[in-house]
Amino acid sequence: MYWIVPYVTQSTIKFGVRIPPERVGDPVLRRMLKIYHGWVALVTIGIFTAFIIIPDLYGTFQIETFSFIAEIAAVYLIYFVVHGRLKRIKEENGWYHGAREAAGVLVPIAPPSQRDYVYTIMLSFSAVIVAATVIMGAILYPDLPALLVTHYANNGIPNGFERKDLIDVFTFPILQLVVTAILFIVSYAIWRARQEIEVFRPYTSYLQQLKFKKYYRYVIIAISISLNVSLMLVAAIRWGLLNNNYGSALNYFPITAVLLISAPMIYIGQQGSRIKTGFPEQPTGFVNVNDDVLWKGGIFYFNRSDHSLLVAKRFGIGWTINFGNPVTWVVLWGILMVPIFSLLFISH
Amino acid sequence: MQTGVFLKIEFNSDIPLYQQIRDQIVAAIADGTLKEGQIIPSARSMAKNLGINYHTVNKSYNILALEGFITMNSKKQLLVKPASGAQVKRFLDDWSSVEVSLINEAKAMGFEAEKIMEIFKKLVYSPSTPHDSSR
Repeated sequence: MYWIVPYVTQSTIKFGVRIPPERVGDPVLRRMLKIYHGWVALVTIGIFTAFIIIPDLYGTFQIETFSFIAEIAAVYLIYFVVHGRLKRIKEENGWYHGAREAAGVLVPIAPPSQRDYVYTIMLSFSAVIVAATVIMGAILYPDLPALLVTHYANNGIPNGFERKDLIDVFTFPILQLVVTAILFIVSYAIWRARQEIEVFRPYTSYLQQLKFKKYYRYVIIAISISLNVSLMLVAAIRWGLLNNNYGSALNYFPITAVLLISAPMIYIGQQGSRIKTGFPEQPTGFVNVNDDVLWKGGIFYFNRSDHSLLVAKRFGIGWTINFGNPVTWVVLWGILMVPIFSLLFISH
Repeated sequence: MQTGVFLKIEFNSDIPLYQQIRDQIVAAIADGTLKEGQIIPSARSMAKNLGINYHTVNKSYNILALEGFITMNSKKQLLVKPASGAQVKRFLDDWSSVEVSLINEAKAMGFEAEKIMEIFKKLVYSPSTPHDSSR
């Protein structure tokens, strides 16, 4: 997965470093890509070998999780090294010397006036699924046994039980509503996220980003619906309507759905940078502001004077948050509080 | 195919940011890309997209409103509008005094009236170009 990240980012952002458009084909960048790929390949092979060997020696205790984390940590370590090196080369060779740095905005001439039904569709789908879950719970509740199976061992034998409680019927619909609400907020925030205009080709980048945002919105809606459906199915298993044999398949359902839905994003690129718009762009003579200082390590955006909450990622696809904005911290604490409060709620 | 008006601000320019925004909006109105009734993004959204302070954009908008290029409708949207009679008169007064001083400069440089007219004609009929701060 991390192998392809350098290909999907915008052409003027390489390894989290902003480069002027005339340097896009620079041999230095090819060399950096080679270094990155070389190390990623080496580390992946190493970790995979360890993944095969270690269980023989020490047993399989959580080896999947561990090697997964190790792989990500290693890839980011390699990324940081390449990022630092490219940044140094850029500064030493004065890549931005004499460049006309500008920021741009595109004022749409005819803003789409027709109503936007995307969210209506998303929310009504979710409402139907949540309602179906509630109805299913209400019908099944009187006939449920006093003890409900909450967990199955790997061999399919129940090993976790809980006493039947009226709250139980509502747990899944509430979870569904929380998931829908979070994804709705995320999707709306992304839709309203700032324009990321590349000032050397303003119209192209505007059209690309518009398409990317539209696609991303559908992705989030599809994820929301598939999560709602899987929560409904989990409820059905728990209430004995469905056989537990489906349980293990269900574990993989959301992750598979997310992967399948988001795969085409690799093709269209970060902020749609790989989409061909065919717009007859005139050269503007400007380059985007050399804003590397605002990006710690090229990954964490920290800008106090920028009111934006979401900004386009530099190494990856999608958006990241502005850590310089106080609202960001409120949101982060809020997200952290949700599991803490729900734990308190459940334990009482 | 026109999708929109591209506005940019140059950070290492001597011209203040608010002035750059103001001048480009005037240029866009002049060349007809921004037509009467066209809605202009709010100062907040403009500032967010440009990654600059809200007050900077607000300052350009205040100037534009004062000069009579834009106005706010009942829905608090900003839109391009034709200037009122009083605004046109004030503009003509200010503009004429600037023109007089420019013409005097040219005459002092030794330009004939014919030559000055020629330069003016050329500038008026050339496609409007938002000012270029590098020059």
